[in-house]
Amino acid sequence: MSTVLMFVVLAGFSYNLLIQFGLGFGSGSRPIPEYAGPILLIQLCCLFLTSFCIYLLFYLLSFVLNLDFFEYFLYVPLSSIGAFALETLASRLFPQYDGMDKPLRTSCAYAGLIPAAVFLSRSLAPSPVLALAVCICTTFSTLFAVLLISAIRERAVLEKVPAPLRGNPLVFISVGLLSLVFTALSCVFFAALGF
Amino acid sequence: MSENYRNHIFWGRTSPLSSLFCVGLLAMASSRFAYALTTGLCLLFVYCAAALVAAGARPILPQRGRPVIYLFLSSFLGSLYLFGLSLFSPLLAQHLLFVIILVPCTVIASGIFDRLRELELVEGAALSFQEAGIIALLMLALSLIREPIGFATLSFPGGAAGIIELFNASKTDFFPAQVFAASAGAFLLIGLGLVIYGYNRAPLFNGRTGE
Repeated sequence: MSTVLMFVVLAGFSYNLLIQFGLGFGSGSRPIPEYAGPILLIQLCCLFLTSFCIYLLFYLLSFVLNLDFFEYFLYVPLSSIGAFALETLASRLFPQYDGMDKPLRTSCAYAGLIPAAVFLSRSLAPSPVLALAVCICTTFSTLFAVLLISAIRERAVLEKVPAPLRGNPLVFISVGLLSLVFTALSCVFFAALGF
Repeated sequence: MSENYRNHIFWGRTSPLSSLFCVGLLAMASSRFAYALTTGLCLLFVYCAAALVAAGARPILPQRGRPVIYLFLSSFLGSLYLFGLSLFSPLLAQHLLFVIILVPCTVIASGIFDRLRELELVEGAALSFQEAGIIALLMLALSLIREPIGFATLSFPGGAAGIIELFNASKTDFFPAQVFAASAGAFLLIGLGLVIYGYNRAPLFNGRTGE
């Protein structure tokens, strides 16, 4: 149980990384429109399913083949193809959301989020059960990060902010401070767990 | 005036600091100068080689499915660099594994392949080199601030441990400025950098910041 908890905390710690990916590729740096809630949930389901399926694929392949460097080479293309396929399926199932502006951009497998989730689960989780925990926590921390950044942007519009700080600079500085808090919290968790 | 700067390599709308496609890489790779140097070289290699191959093979590439080919191409080039790096320094390759996986993501997210469509081979290679060079220089500049402040040292790739520290000025374990070496410090510095960038960019676009 403590091992699972450790993995869950580690996946929570990946929040910092996830914000980096989200912001770094422009996914989280714009406000989410009100109608985009269900689309975000669909995208998160795609993120979770793709990352867990890719983990399972490499987990099963590792019994037969030693892919070594080729494994890392395949993370990004497989993530993109998986996410694209699932989003196409989702657009068939939910045609009302097709064509709407998506909170997470699909151009590069959710801006590196899926490759990051696969990398984390492949590096940390030796079994599919733990990988499932890591993938779930990674998905929730993505949701948390996206909502948090959206809230920061909304507040920044309402408050009086000096002109040079408006927009992305304020988001980065706020995220930097939040990142500091989360790093400290995860250190406390690790100390409590004896790592 | 603003028209001249619309497609500028540093001030334009598609530039790295305007579209912010590379900030994840900037934050992660700039914690140490050695990492920034290695990742910068990887970025130059993947950008330029991918652009050359994409421009050279344009007549034989199918119209449909090109993005998938570009994805595989840039990922392959990234893993090729990783393989070369692991021969030179296995520990450094292990440290930078995660960052180098993200280099192909950055190359694709930059939209360079769309811009290369209208350019000739040499022009495309020059544009890729300039864009990758700007990101690499930004990475190096950030690492030159973060590493001396955060770790009180300056490192270069090499040695058995993967990096060589030129000096080490930190005398105690308690070093509060270490926060600048963490991702939190990177975000704060990038935020401040963006303030300066936006302040200097606004007059070029007749007062519009592009927000």
